[in-house]
Amino acid sequence: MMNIYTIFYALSIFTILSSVIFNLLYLHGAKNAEHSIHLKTPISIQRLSKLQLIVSLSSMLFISLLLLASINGK
Amino acid sequence: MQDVNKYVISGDWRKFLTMPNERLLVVTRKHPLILLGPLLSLAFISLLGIVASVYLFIISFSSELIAFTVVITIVNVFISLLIKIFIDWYFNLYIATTRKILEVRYSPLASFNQDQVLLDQVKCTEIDTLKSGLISDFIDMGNIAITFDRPTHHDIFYLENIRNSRVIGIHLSNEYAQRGHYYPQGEMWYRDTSRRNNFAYFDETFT
Repeated sequence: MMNIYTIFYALSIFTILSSVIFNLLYLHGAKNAEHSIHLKTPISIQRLSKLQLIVSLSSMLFISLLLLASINGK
Repeated sequence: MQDVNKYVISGDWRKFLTMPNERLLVVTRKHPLILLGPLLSLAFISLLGIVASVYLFIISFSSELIAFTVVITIVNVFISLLIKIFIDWYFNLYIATTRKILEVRYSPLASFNQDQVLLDQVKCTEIDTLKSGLISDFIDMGNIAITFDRPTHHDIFYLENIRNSRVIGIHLSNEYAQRGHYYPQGEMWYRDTSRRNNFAYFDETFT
C-alpha cells in the first residue's frame, strides 16, 4: 500500500509537470500572436519562462528521487 | 506610411492600417501598475500556501521533505501564473487611428477578441477623460470614454486604465475634431449663395 509520502511526491510531480506544459503552451500561443499582432514576446517573459523551466526540471528530478526512495521504503 | 508619435508604443502596427489615408494616433496598453493588484493577490495566496504547508508538515507531521516538496510546487505554479498575468496584460492593446478605434485582447489558449469601431460611419464623437483617486491622479492613469452618436445610439468605447490618459484624451479630442479634414462630411447648414438671405439645411438620407 502506498504511504502518504508517495502520494504527496506523485501529486507534486504531476502539478509541476502540468505547470510546465501550461507554460510552454502559453508561450507557444504568445509566439503565434507575433504573426497576428506583430508584437514580440518581451525578453523578460522569455527569461522568466526559462527560469521556470530550470526550476521545474530540477524540482521534478529531486522529487522523483524522493518518490523512488519512498516506493522502495527507504 | 506609419506615423510614429509619442503615444504609439514600439511595434510594427502597419497591419492595422487597412484603409486609405489612415494613420496611427494612439497605440497603448493598460498602465503597468494595474498588474499590482493581481500580482499582490497571487503573492499573498502563494505565501499563505507556503506558510500553511510549512506549519502543517514541519510542525504537525515533522516531515521537512514533504514541506519542501509542497513549497517548490507552489513556487512553480506561482511563476506560471505570473507569466500568464504578464502576457495577458501585454497582449491587451488599444489602437486609435484616424479611421477607426479598436481594442485587441489576446489570451493564449483562451481567447482572441478584436473590438473595432469604424469612424467613417459615425457622425458625432465625444471624448471624456475619467480619473478617480489620488494614486490614479498621481501616476496619470485613467479611462477615456469615446461616445459615438450619443443622442441616438449611446455606444461607448472605453480605453481603460491607460497611462497618460489626460494627454491622450486631449490628443484624441484634437485629432477627431479635425475628422472632416480626413474625409469630407456634409455640412448641416450652409448659406445658399444663389438666393439672398437664405440658409439651406443639408442632411444625408440613408435608404
